[in-house]
Formats: sequence, structure tokens, C-alpha cells
Amino acid sequence: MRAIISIIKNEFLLICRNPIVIIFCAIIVLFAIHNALACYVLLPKMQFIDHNEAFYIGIGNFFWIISLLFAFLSMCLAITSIASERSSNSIRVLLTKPIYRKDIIISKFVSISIFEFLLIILTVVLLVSLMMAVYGGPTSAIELILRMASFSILLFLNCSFTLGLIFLLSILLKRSEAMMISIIFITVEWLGQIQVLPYLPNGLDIIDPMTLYIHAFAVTPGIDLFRPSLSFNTWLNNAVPFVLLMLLEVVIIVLVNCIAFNREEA
Amino acid sequence: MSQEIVIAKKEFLDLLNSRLVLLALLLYTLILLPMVYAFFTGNTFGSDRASTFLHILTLSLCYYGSLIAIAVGLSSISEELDRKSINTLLVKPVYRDTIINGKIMGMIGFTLCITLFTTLIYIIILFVIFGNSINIYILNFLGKLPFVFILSILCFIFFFALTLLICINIREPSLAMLLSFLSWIFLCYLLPNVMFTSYFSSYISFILGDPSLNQYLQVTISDLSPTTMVFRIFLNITDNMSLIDVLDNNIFEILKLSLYCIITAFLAYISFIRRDIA
Repeated sequence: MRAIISIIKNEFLLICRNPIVIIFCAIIVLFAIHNALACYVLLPKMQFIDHNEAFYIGIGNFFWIISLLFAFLSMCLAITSIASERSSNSIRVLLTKPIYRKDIIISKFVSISIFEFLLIILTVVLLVSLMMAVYGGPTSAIELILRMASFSILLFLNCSFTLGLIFLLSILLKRSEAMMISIIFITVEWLGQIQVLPYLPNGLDIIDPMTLYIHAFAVTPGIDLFRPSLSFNTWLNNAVPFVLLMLLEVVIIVLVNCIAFNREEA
Repeated sequence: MSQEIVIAKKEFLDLLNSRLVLLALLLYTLILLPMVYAFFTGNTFGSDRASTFLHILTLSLCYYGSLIAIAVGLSSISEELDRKSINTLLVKPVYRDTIINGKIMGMIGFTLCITLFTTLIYIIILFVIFGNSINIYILNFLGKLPFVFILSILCFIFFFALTLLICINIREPSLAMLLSFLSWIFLCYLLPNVMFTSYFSSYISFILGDPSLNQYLQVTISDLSPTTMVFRIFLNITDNMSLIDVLDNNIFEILKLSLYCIITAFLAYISFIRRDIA
């Protein structure tokens, strides 16, 4: 257990010092300022909708781009953590230590996940704070906290699955091939908005990670977590099965990673 | 020139023998199949069928193909810099710009191959989905294909040169990868995005104190994107235009794209020549 904790700690510190994270944080800050400035100018003009609705519209603007940026971050961190270490053979140093291979993979996964969760929380806090500074907050602070926490959890689960998937690709393939397939996956899912498994029968398409994420976030198109007209309890009742399925997918991908890494010649 | 051809041939064969080819073709197939099927079932595009078929192909080649150009650039230069294998090339009696020329030529050859294979796959998809009903449009479609090839090669060269520029100046391969993709997100996704540009132009015009600048700024910012340029080109193409008419009507956009390629390639040259690679 001590070895796992020390790997987690080491990996966490490496990620914090990674220039990728610094650049990413700078982009998030710029984006938050951009969103806040735009809301400052445009939202007061929307006098035909109430304050709460306008506030959540301002927040909902960043849903897609933030999710996309975090998916890219997961990809970069996963490739740095596994594929780059495999190609430079530095992972062999870790393999000589008296530690199970599955513990190495789980530790790396947990450390990156913890880091991403903290970063998601900080991003959401920054975006909401700036919005509140320029436009004022909604009537119910508790509703706001619940909705933002739920969004953070959904995004975290989605990023964890992406992380796990790209871990698997990095274990099985060379760095350039892993990178290429990761790009295909993120492009097709996020930018093409085409299901990776489009030919599944109706109902089974729910295992597609993007479909799951969208279904968890929105009850129907246009009625989602960022609509105050949808009560939080109604949203929660609808989202719980999808959240559990997302969690299951994350657990499965981690287990598959452990099996693949155990069998793979590093 | 012979040295450049040797480097280009090596680069071309390396790329062609790698699994990147198969992955690139897989990406295109995954993108084109649902788009063509959506067009077949919904008929969401205009009445100029041949132009619409060209539009789908060009958008896929330019929009998603630029990602492939970035991946090719990263595997071509970033990995060589990281593994120091480029030092083997630099100790030979070749000019540094010869190396860049050779890489760009190799990449153009690879792009042409990929574009040809993708076009073949696309034509097969069209025949499978539409059947013989596309026979009347196919000649019109084939007649304008060279224009599609020009656009896709220009987009490829631009993003390849941009990736080269980033990889040469940033040693850390993962950071170079992130910056390359972020530049793609910015140029191909954010700039054409109406919400992003309208937000940006609204507060810039607010800061400048002239609300009438809003629309103008929005269009100007959006036009900076290569994707918007390609999209605007296809708004003006109809079935009864010949290849010469198409080239003639869109010469300005082609020149703009070419300028992008020239500027980024020039900056990549300067960086590679001046920078200490070792």
C-alpha cells in the first residue's frame, strides 16, 4: 500500500510540474475571462428571460468546450504517463521494483484522476465566480452548488473513461499509433458527434461514452442540468442510472488495463 | 535537389509503411459513411448533387485531414527530435533547409496517396448507398476533383508546417502535441464557431465603444479560419460550373490558404535553420 501511495504522490507531482498543465490552466483562465466578458455585455440585453435562466445560459455556454478541452487533457496526460514512458523505457525502472504491475497502472490512473478532479473543481469554481462577479448569482446558492457538483462529477467520470481508454491504447500500441487512435476517438466522439459504435441496435447505443454523458447531462435535448426550469431532483432521478453506468465503464476499463499491462512485454 | 528527393522518398516510405495510413483511412471511412448516409436519408444539402458530394469530401479531407497532418508532423519531427535520430541526418553534408524541403515533399506525396485512397473509398460508399442513381453526377464530380485535391493539400501543408514550427521550438513532445491540437481546436473549431466569435466581437466592440463593429469583427475573425475559407468556397459552387470557373471564382480564397502555408513553412524554415537541434 505504501508503494502505491508513493507512486500516486510521485505521479501527481510530475503532472503538476508538467508544462502541459500550466498551458492548459492558462487556457482555462483565458476562456473563463472570455466567457465572463461576453456575459457582461450580452446577458443584460436578454431582458425577456429571468435572471436565473440567463445566469445558467451564461454558465451552459462553456459546457461543450470545457468537456472537449478536458478530453484533450486526459489524452495528453495518458500518453505522457504511459506511452512516452514506454518509448523512453523509463517505465522499466518501475517494473524492477517489488510492486505488482496492476498496482502501477492503478496508481497512475488514480493520480491522474485525482489531479483531473481537482482541476475540474477549480475550473468550475473559477467560471462560476467570474459569472457571479459580472452578472450576479442565482437565487438559490444550494441549487447552484448541487448542479455544479453534479456537472463536475459527470465530467470527471467522462474524463476518467477517456483516460482509461487511452491508457489501454498506450499499453498496446506505440506512441504515434496510440496518439492517432486517440485523436480519431476524440474527433469522432466530440467534434464529429458520431457515435463510435453507430451500428448497435436501439438501446445498446447507450454504452457509447458520449451518448452516456449526454443522456446523464440532459433529460431531453434542451432540458438539461443547466436549466432552472428542470428541478434538480427530477434531473437526479433521470441521471442516476446513467451515472452508475459511467462508473461501471470506468471500472471495466481499469480492469482491462490491468490485464493488458500484466500480459504486455514492457 | 537529389538530396531532397532522397529525404522525401525516405519520409514518404516511412509514412506509407506505418500504420498511420490504415488509421487515417479508418478515420475518413468513419466520418464519410454517416455523412453520406445522413445526406441520403435526409437530403439536407442543396439541389446541386455533384457539388454536394464534393462538399462532403472536401470538408472531411480538410477538417479531419488537418488532424492527420498534425499527427504526421508529430511523428515525423517530434519523435525524431526526441530520440535524437535527426542528429544522424544533421551530421551529413546537407543543408538544413534541404531536410525541411524533403520532409514537406514526402508529406505532400503521402497526402496525395491518402487523398486518392479516400476518394476511392468515398466513390465506393456513394455507389453502395445511392446505387446507379449517381451515374449522372459522377462525371461532374470527377471533373472537379483536382480542385478538392488542391484544397486538401493546402490544408495539409499548413497544419504540417504549423506542427513542424511548434515541434522545432518546443522540445517536450507532449507539450508540442498539446499545442498542436490546441492550435487546431482554435483554428478549425473555435474561430468558425458562431457563439465564440460573436461573444469575442461583442465585448471587443463594447470596449472600443462602437457596437456597429460587432458584425464586421465577427465576420473578419471567422474568415481567419481555414475551415471557413473552404466552407465559403463551396457556397458558390454549382453543378453547371466547370473546373476553370470554380478555380476562377475562388482564386482569392486559394491565395489566402496558400499564404497561410507559405508563412508557416517560412517560419518553420527559419526556426529549423537557426535553432540548435541537439
